[in-house]
Amino acid sequence: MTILTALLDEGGPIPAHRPFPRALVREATWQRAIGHLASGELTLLSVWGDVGHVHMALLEDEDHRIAVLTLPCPDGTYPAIGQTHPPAIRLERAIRDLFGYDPVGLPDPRGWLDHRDGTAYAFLPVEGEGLHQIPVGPVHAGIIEPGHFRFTCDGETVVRLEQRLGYVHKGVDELFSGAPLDRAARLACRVSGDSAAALGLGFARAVEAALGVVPPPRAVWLRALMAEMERVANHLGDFGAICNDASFTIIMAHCAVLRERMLRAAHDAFGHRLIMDRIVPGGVTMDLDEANRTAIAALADDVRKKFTALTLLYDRTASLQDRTVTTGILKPELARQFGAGGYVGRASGRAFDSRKHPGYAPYDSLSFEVPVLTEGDVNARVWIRVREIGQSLNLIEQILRDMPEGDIQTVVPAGSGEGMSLTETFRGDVLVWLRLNGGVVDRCHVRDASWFQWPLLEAVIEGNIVADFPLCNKSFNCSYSGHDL
Amino acid sequence: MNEPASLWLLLVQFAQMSLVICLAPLLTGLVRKVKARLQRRRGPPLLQPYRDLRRLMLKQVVLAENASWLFRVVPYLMLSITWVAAALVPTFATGLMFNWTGDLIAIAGLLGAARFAQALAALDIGTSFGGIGSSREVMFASLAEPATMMIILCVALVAGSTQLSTIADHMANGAVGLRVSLALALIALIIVALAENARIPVDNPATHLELTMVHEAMVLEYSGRHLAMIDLAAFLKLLLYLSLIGCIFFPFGIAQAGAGPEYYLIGLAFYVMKLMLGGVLLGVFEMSIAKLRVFRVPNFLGAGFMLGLLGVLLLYVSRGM
Amino acid sequence: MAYWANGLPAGAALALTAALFHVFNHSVFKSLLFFGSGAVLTATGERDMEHLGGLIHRMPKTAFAFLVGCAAISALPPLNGFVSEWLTFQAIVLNPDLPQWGLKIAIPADGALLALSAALAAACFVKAFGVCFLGRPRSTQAASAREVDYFSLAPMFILAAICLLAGVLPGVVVDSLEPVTTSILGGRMPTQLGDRWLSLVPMSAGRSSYNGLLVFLFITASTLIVVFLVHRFASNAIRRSAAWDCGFPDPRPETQYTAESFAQPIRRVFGSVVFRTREVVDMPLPGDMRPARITRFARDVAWDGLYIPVAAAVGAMADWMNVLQFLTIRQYLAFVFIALVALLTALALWQ
Repeated sequence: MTILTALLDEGGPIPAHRPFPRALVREATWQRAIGHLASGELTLLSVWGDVGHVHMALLEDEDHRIAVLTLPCPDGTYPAIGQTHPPAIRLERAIRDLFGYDPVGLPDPRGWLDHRDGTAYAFLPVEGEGLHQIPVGPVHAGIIEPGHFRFTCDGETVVRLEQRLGYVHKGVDELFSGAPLDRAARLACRVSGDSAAALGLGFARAVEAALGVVPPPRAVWLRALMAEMERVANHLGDFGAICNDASFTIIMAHCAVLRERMLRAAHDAFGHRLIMDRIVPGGVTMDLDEANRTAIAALADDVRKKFTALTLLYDRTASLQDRTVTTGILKPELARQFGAGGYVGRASGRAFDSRKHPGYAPYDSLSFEVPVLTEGDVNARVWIRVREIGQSLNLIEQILRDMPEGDIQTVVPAGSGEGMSLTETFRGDVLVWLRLNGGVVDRCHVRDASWFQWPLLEAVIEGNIVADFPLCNKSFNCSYSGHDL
Repeated sequence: MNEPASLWLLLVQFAQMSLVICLAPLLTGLVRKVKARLQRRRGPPLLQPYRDLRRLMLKQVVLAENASWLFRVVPYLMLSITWVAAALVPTFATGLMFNWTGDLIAIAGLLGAARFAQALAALDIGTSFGGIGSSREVMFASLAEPATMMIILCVALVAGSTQLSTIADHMANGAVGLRVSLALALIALIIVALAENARIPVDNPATHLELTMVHEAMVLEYSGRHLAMIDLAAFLKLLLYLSLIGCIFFPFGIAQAGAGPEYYLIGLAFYVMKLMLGGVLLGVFEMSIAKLRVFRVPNFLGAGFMLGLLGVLLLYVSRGM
Repeated sequence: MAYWANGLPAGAALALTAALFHVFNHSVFKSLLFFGSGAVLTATGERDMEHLGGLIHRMPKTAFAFLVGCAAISALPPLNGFVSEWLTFQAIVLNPDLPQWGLKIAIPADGALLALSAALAAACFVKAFGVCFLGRPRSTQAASAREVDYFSLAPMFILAAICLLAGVLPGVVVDSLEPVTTSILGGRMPTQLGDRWLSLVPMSAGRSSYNGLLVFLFITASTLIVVFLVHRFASNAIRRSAAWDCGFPDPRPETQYTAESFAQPIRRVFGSVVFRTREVVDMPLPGDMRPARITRFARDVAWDGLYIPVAAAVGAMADWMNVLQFLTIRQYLAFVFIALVALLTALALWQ
């Protein structure tokens, strides 16, 4: 018997929750789960608040089994996971800000998404003589999202880095509640605009799981095509941007062209550059015609050729390699502890990819590899992206070749139920959990991959100087919007 | 020195002073254009730096509340000191009226004074970005100055003078021939020039990343006409270094003292061509290399110093035996 | 001295004049800087730079005089420090006239060290002035400092004026040093005041010259032109606002550079060899609330360099040869430098 089934057996199962099991547990079981998290046997997928309850989603690394534990908290308090398992701290601070539940024993008493304390926010202490602080942001010189970074330094040496996020808090949780499915699907795509297709897919899959709807096969394949095109476009952008941060602009210039062509192909095929609102519960809204099918196939082929040349240029430019190799090392233990997804985890030896485990259609019938490296530096994160672009281009070709014919949408009944999905965006796995009640969303929680990547960025700066931080940051490329909700 | 001749020299001197300040933004525009074309971008028009200066000049200055008089005075000083330094370098003609007021060392000293002023102004508001820029700048300067001195020494030993007009005349007369020492000094000077002008691989003039900045971090709090003057000073400094390289190492076509007006025109044409070539080469070089890590810059400048020193020692060896 | 011994009285006079000028300058601006420090101490009761800041607003006159001293000691034109540095370099440029190989090599190395020390002085005084007088106050004493009285200010301003005058009219100083050089060396530099434009011409006009007065006038003139043009054609509008500082102007004094931080890059570049400084950073993992900590170690090179090696020399030799393969470029460059100088010195001695 595995740890998760043992924990589930201690509570009362809730049959309406699909596809992963959920159980209503008592405090003792909750505490035991925290113990397993702290000892590293389980990985935290998310923790979120609900009316009168808190939920935690857990992943068992051994067999990739997933389950949700729910603890009632009628008096507004519950035992904090963050007390012994740091990855939960920010999520629990967010729960305290958004739901008013008090995580008992949480070491950090400060707000997180709630910014009413303004500049009185107390940054964590640093000891040592003659140190100074560098407040960076929330307004940056470039066109990027707002976030505040507080460095405490001795000259160039960083002694502590602390992030402060929440500047783009939009109240997504509240907007979901009571929204009809079509509006909720649009909202899901806008949680983080750069992963619109994958977030739409995640929401659609959760709805379909809750209602027991099976989308037609062609829609499933089209969704994968959209998600892979989005992944290629974003990885191309990141690859260029990382090189640009080392002031090697030529790679960025070429990547920008390739990315733009990918976006235009998406626009031609699906009517939207970022493929927003094309993936909806029950299927997709646009079919792929023959002309666009050949156009995308030709583009994938061309991108592969041109990108190979760029990869060679990256690999052979010694001055660029000097910037990325050994910069910003993320230790595999930390990546594992935080359950870091995407290129952040895979560059530090964590091979998790939700397309493989737990896996979803049509990836079970496609052949692709999940690249893994163990160096954990900026260079490794670059190479993971490079390999993933290659894999995604392969996937696009397979999809275009083998895509079945047929309908692209099925009717979604106005039912009730609970659904959950784990979907791979270009950043990593996104968890969508929702409860439907008579065709409207009662409660929806979206946990972006960035939640478990942002804290790690604070750790990778160790041993690096201030001037190398932008490179580390870009190699993480976490979402502000997806995190601030 | 009879009166008409010295009036003529004065005229040429003023022509040169206005020439450098008029050409400087164009040179930067050219470098930006070259870089843009290499990035497959159309790039801003060549005259964009002039428009930027005009736009900044006409804008209101937003001054930090605790800025002192020093903060407001420094842009004027930087521009005027850099301008004087640029005016001391023979561009298209040697033997100008005021060439003898200062030599290579004085030019290095003037640029040092401008840098000193800027580093101080960066600390005036009391933000950490100013501090970052300022502390990096003085660290680089502490390595660039010994290298500069080695280059000056090397050139002075070849030409027997630290006076730029004399050096240019000496080099232009062709008696020098090809010397290994001078080649080493040239490379060293290019290294120093890249560092002093905040170019890649030492600094990135186009970056938006505050934490990696050196020059831009120091001027982060400036706006309006103050920023325009600092920008113009930076343009002038780039022009100065290219002129310096041109006049010491490639002085062909430069008009000699007392030459007729036609020689001045030829000198001018050569000078503009040299600047264009220098600007294009700089653009190409900047595209082909990533920025160095901050603590690799000392190695880079150290290499410059070593090349200068090697040049000097080689001169001794070649003369001694 | 070397020039004298080799029968080069002009060079010797130049070198000695440069040295005397340098001594004179130091007596002026060092006094000025000490007066300035005294004024700051009186006004704030603070000796520690890390508790000062923003004094330019509270003590503008002291700040101005101190600034002149800082610029002078950093050898910046048109002040006096630059003139003596310039003269010293002129003496260095003469050095190939020397017959001895050893000196030939030692003197350019001297020049490099001189440039290095001038640049480091500039760095040091940017730090000193920047941390004490600029920025925001780091303590209540600094925030409530009062300008010192005129008796304290007067000597500072006199010394600052001497710094400027000696820089602008160096010929006067050089000529007044002439009796000393004549009595010691029996030679002298050419008289300077005779020149039409008051230029400083150590050897001959074609060789090198420096005119402090003209440089000063040039700077003044071009500043005036710039001021005139800018205020004639540019916008004169000005508005006070909070500092930009990336949208988060945190009023706490910790958010500005400290003296310690300012010097850290230089310390890291030079200090790793000279003082063997080391920093140990204890950075807690994400989510850990305990304080981060930095500890610095500086060791005395003399102790490590003289006593410990004797004890450990035998055992270390073997390891040391291995280490040679893993040095940084900077260290390799230092080796190249030392090797070159050593080889050429050996060559000189052998000849």
